[in-house]
Amino acid sequence: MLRPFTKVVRLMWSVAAVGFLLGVTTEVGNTVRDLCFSSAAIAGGFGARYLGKGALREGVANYPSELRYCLHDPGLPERVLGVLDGALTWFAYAVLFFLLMRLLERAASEGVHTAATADRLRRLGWFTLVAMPVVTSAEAVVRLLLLRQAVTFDVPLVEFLFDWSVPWWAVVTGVGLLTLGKIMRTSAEMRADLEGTV
Amino acid sequence: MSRGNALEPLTGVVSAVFALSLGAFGLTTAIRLTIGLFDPVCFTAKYWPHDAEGRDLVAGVRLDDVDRVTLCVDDPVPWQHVLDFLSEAPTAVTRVGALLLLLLLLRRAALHGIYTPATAADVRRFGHYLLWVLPAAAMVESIARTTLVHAAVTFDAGFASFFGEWEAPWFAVITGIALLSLAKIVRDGAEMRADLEGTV
Repeated sequence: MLRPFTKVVRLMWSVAAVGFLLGVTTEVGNTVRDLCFSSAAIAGGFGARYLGKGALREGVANYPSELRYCLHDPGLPERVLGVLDGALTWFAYAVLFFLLMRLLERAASEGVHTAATADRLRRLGWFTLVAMPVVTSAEAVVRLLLLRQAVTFDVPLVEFLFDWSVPWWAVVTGVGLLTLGKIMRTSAEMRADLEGTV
Repeated sequence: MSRGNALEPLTGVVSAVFALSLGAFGLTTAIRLTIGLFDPVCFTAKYWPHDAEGRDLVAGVRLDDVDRVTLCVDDPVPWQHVLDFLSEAPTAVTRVGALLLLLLLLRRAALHGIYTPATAADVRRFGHYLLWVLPAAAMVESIARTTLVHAAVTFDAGFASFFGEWEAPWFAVITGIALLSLAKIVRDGAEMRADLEGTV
């Protein structure tokens, strides 16, 4: 019954886990390469020049909206920040899909309408609702801290808001999962009733 | 059965988000149709090679790449305004539509009960909507944006570039597939409920 979805979730879990491990190992193992990160925070203040084929037409202005900076020979604090950038969201996605995968597997073996499934749904709902916004905003702050190391002028910390895309889907889906948890609890009781009457 | 207000936190949140996003969309559309007609048309271009001139950078820091660039057409012609609208509105409209569908689903479920064949059909429809309509809207936006870029540059990057900027809203795809499974569960529950009512 849960068939197409379980497969998708298992695939997403593998992708997120591999992404997390690869990201961390390459960042930790890398001691030679420059530390690079992207930021949209103050990009509009710089100028951009078109390098492609042809040219910009007259009356067309251009400015960068997201830039990639590279720090040459960064210190340990910057390296740590560099590992956190990217690793945090990959980790959160890996945990999210792991929770979801375990929920589906247990639901498939123990039954969907059980109190245990309801509890797992609620836990997954809270995780989606809280962890995803926290993790994505933490990453935006990490990138801003790196950006502060890259420019000579002072960048206020609140500028991270320009680099943070709020995961609204996680908020709505999280609340949806909490509701689904409630519904499953009711139906678990209903199922117990049914088994009691038979 | 003590169902109470099982749908409550969700209905409240969805109503609030729906009202907010409808208001925000109405406001931006109103601005776009009045003051916006005299403003330059601006759009984001990805994967179009640019070089950035950095200043006030710490020694040893270099600007490696321009990930995204914003292009602004100072004196846009009407069709550029239309494309500008098409490059931002489809996602907003389909999201408001998704919230409306969800709201209707919740209202009907609260009225007729959650474990009914009608709710199962609603959930299924909602799942298909998220799975197909939202990625299609993102595709329309990608095509509109790329057309705008092509008109701003004296170079045609070819047909394939129209899809290069397409960012599939994968969360909508996953949630959509999840809802299809949920619809099966609800249908199953509806049968179970019918059994229960039959035995009592």
